[in-house]
Amino acid sequence: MLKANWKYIVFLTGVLAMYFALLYFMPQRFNWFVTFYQKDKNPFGAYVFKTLTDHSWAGPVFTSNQTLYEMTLEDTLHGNNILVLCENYSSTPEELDATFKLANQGKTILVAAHQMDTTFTDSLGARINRPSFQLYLAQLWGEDSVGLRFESQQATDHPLLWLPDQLLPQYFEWHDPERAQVLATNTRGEVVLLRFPVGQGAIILSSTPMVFTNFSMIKSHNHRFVSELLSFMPQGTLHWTAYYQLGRMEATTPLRYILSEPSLKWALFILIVAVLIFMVSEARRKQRVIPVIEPPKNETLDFVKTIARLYYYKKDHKDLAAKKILHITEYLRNALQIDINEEMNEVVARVAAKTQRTPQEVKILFEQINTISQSRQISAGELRSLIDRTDQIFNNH
Amino acid sequence: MLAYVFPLLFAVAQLVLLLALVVLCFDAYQLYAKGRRMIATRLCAERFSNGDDNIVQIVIENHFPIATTVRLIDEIPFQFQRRDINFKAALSAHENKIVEYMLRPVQRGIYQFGNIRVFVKSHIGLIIRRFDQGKELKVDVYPSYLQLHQYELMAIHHRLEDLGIKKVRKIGHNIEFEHIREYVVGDDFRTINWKATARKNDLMVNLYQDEKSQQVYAVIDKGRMMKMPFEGLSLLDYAINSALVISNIAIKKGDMAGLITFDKTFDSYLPAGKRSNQMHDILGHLYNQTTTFGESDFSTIYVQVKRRIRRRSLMLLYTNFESIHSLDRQLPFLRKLSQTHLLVVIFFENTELDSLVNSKPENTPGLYQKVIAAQFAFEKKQIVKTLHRHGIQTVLTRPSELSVQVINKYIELKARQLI
Repeated sequence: MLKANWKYIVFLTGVLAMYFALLYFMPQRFNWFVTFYQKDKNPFGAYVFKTLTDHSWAGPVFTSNQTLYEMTLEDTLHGNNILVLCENYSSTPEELDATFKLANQGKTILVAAHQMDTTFTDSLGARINRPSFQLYLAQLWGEDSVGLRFESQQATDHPLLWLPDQLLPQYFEWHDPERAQVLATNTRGEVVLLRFPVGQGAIILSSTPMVFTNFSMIKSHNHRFVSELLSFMPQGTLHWTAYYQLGRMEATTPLRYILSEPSLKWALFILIVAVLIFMVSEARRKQRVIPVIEPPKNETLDFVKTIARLYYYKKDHKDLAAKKILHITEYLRNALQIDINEEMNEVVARVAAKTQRTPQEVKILFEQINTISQSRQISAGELRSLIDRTDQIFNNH
Repeated sequence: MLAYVFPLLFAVAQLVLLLALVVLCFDAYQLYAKGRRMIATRLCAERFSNGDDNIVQIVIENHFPIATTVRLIDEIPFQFQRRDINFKAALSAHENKIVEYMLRPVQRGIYQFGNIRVFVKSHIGLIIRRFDQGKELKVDVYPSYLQLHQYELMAIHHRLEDLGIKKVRKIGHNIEFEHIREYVVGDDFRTINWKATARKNDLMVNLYQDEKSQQVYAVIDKGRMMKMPFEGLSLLDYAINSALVISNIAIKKGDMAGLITFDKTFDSYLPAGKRSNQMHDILGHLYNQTTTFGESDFSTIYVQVKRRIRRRSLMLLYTNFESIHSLDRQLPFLRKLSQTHLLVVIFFENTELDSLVNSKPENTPGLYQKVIAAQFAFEKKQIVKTLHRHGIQTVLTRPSELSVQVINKYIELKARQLI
């Protein structure tokens, strides 16, 4: 088997090897997904921002995938500053409470997102305008048409950051000037950064999360804007959670739980090992191959059925009855040695005696044979009656 | 799993697992320790008899000092298409056992056995050890020599009646004197040898024997019509088996047996003889018969027989006719053949039709099938009549009864001194 197929095996292996070599040497394609992930060097990852904070932030920087609610459960939370970078920020009622709870405790929470759920923004008295964000790669290389400047700058000052318009479409509308402080606007005069003092801490909302991406950070002097932005947060530790963009960076299958429980983990591994041993031992062929050979088939029955069908299509019941009558007379002559040309009563008596039937039954059969012989056509019922009666008289003999 | 609900059980489960591993190691030691092995040997005839049950034995020798359970698979030739040669046996320490089974080949030729796979487990039963035993073995499947021996023994012991061979009343006297013996009640008075009676002072009778050294040819048609299988065996193989039996009987009875086969051409010819190795030659010829099951040419058989066989012989022609029309095409050649030889046309009842003929149809198409099937059977009888009308002897038989019917016919013809 192996010998016969070695050419195909070599060919297939060669093709597979070429395919993998091609994949390996091909230039890697850019990943344009927006991830805001600290380790991503792709355009919309946040590797540069992470590096910047590691070097320039006064305190330590922690990264995690915790929700704000989970942070409230911890006895000692790392950091008095919390950073949330994501495209869509949505919070459950528990998380909303947790956000305010954390802020009341004196934390400063910076939430930068294209979209924020209205429960959250309404509770602060603000709303994001143009909630949809669309990325058109072809237009990325156009002119940087929108700039951001802080309120602390003079209106005539040059904006600290410039980016294409499609990366900075959102802005805030807010209706309670006393509750919030505008920190930055764009060159269109729209508010993009708001600070809400809450309890001993504050919540800072940014509608321009793209400023934290690698794409923005390495462009011109954009990083100065981010550095300036971070200065609105008090000194101390910074806790950056990626949960709201990437979710939990761990397996979400039931196996995660099974593996975390020693008893279930043992059961699982014993099961896997047992199944593997069973498969390896039982997969071996127990005896050599027995090729299937069709035995020669006796097709007589099929042939007879086909011929019978052809006769049936003609519906010539009389012809079939004539054949049956011929068989009867032949049987009488050869098997019972009775000549049907003799006198009728004599024949009937002899047939009755030999078949152990009453003369009356035999006589009815012979009369039926006579009637059919003299008819031009007979019905299917008459044919059946003849055959049934014949079988009745002769079959048991 | 239970330990998840009852954490206390976890330690118990670990202990049980450890125990199971120990038992597993012990079981492995029991099966794989040095010198422990299972030997299986296949015993069977060098040649198998076609169409008969051939016995195969496997001897299992347990070289384990413990009781074992054995599962045994014999790799029989694929031609049998059987996947059930799979036996289980319990063996005590150092016990030997014999497993027996039957194989019924339906084709002549070379068959190849593979290994004997033996799967052994101890009473613990956690591990199964496999032994590949036996040797690859080639077996020739010959025409039914088992039937041949069966009929031969019966013929020697004059017990052919047990197999359905009829005693035929002899017509007239045979003239070939054999020997003189004492009179026993029932002997024909006319055979009393008065001279011998006077000499011995006891009634003595002459015994006569049938005429001997008559030529009996089995003529086998290898054409299309002989391809039809019954119980897996083709009509050709039924004919070959029967030819072997009748040749043997003929030689045992003092006649000379020969063989002719044909299909679209005259194929093989073994002149009639009664030498000691004649049966060996016939068996060899019959074993090697191959055919494409083409259309048979009866003219060629007539021409060749006329040219090669001058002496009046008994020709047992194995063929098959399904309809009177197929006979009509060959009848002129058969008639010509019967002018110089005693021709017996042997053909077959189609037993496959029995189910249809005896059926109780519930609808009109079923009625048609029943009558048409009966018509086919009827035509076979018409063929017999037609042949009789032309002075040709016939044997119309079920395939399974072929040999018996042919021997009957042979004995009948001998008794009637038609040859």
